[in-house]
Amino acid sequence: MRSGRPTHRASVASFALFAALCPAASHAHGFAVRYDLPLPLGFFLAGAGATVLLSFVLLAVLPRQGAAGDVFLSPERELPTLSRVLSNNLVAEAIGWLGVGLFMLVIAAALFGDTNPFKNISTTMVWLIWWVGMMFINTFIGDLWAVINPWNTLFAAAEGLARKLKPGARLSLDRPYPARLEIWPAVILFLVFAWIEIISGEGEDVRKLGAFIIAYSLITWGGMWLFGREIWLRHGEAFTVVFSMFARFAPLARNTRFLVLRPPGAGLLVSEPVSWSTAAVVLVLLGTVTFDGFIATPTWSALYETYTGLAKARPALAGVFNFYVLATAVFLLFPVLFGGVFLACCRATVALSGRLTASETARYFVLTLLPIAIAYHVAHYLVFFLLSGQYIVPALSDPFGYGWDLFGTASYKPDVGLVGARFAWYTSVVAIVTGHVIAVQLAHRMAVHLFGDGKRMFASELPLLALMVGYTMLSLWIIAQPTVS
Amino acid sequence: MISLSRRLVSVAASAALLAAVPCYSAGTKTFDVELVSGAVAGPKSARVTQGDTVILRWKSDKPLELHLHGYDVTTQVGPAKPAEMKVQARATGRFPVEMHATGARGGHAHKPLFHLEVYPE
Repeated sequence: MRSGRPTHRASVASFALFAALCPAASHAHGFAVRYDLPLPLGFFLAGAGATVLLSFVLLAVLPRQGAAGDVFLSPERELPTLSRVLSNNLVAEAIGWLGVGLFMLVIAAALFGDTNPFKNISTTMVWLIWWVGMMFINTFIGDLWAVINPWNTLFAAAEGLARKLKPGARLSLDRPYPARLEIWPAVILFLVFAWIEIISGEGEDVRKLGAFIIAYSLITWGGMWLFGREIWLRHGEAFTVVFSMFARFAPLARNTRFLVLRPPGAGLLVSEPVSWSTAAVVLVLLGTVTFDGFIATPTWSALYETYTGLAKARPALAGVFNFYVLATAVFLLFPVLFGGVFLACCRATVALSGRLTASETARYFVLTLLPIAIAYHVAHYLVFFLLSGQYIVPALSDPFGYGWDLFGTASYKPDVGLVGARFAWYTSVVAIVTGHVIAVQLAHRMAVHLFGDGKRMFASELPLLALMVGYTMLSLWIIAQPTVS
Repeated sequence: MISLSRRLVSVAASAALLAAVPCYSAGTKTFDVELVSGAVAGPKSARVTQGDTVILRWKSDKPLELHLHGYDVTTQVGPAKPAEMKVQARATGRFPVEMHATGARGGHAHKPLFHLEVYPE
């Protein structure tokens, strides 16, 4: 769906046309087109077999005891030189203002550039480079978003200016943040973002994209003004919350003195149960990316046909039996369903371990599911990123689509043969199996830490292991489905 | 001496292997696709192998502009004007053919009509 500037008229005819176009929205994906071939049966079977086999191998070989600290704590290596370079004021400022510059460029292009999303830098920058690229950097390197976040840099700069004009001045009202809200504002804002990306089909309308960014900026600065910059970043800025969740997996982290290097996933082992809203972030990340894959499967098509077929029987309810209602319902159902199954597994764990409550168990273990979500993100987005991300090359030379050629790359055509189907299949299966192994290994260490050694601990791990195997199989199943439009 | 001849054999073998890689089983595959009032009558995809030369022959009862994504080939088809798309299937993947509403700039407001599926060898 690449429409110029659709005008919506409230006539019956245009409503019918609108309804007819809805299925196309199911393939919209924020922006650009995916060229995925379904995973062949052999790859699916190899992945599924490796998942089950490695699960048993891990159960057999992972240490069941030892000083709790040995199993639970990960080795860290301090990086004083890198810390000094990155905490240097000039470097930090440069990274922050680079973020601001790109942010301004995206807004200007979205508001004033060509409305063809393939000629305007804003769509590629937002849906590929920023959303997918930042997720990969935050997951596999470290929390870049924390230092490049333009909303933070701009508000902090405004605070600095206010202090200069009037010493001691505060830009924020510093109202006390209601503790019961936890990080729910961020969870809800992220759901809205994911809905716009996956369901609305409006992500490639550059003018609307500009409006969305401005609206989100106002919400963010409004929250910072009301409660304070740091408070809102941690509780209400959806991308700080989501990207810092991915960064818990990252090898680069910060201790009290320096940046440290640690094994991937180490940041997902917690010594206190996390809040329910933090657990919701993990479940929403699992649910939304799975939903995004699910809406390209024949199972979804059949569901969609059946559901919209109901409109024929009851024309009066045609407004209910459409794509948006069904997609939104299933989109919200996925995280709830994952949460329900997860909680049931935690009940079983409590029954077997005789320790803690199901709620505590769930909030201790939920982060160990994140590697499975990360693996599916890689399987789902990597090839899309490498192929469609190439649109950034011409866009950098001609960000507004005005026919400029700033760096001589304006005529570059994305090479769809850069990586092929075989690369996609191998990386997907390797990512999904690796994510599963890391998740199982983390859950095991958590179990040793919480339940101590012995048979009871061993039995208590089984429900979670079954859940992880099930989820990994679901990921493999989705990418092995013949894609439909 | 044995090791040298072995090495020669392995060099020759790997050279043969390298030479063999770009030599796809290059065949020409032709598909006739007929569009009836903007929808494909018959199979909605064509499956080929990487390296094939693919010819998609289009017929339509209405004038349309067709665009094969990825390979980025555009053609005009109409009642008295059958059209042909010819591509060297170099890149693997599943490439949609979409209909551009003629006249509307950049208009893409339709779901894909057809898919060209290029599988690796």
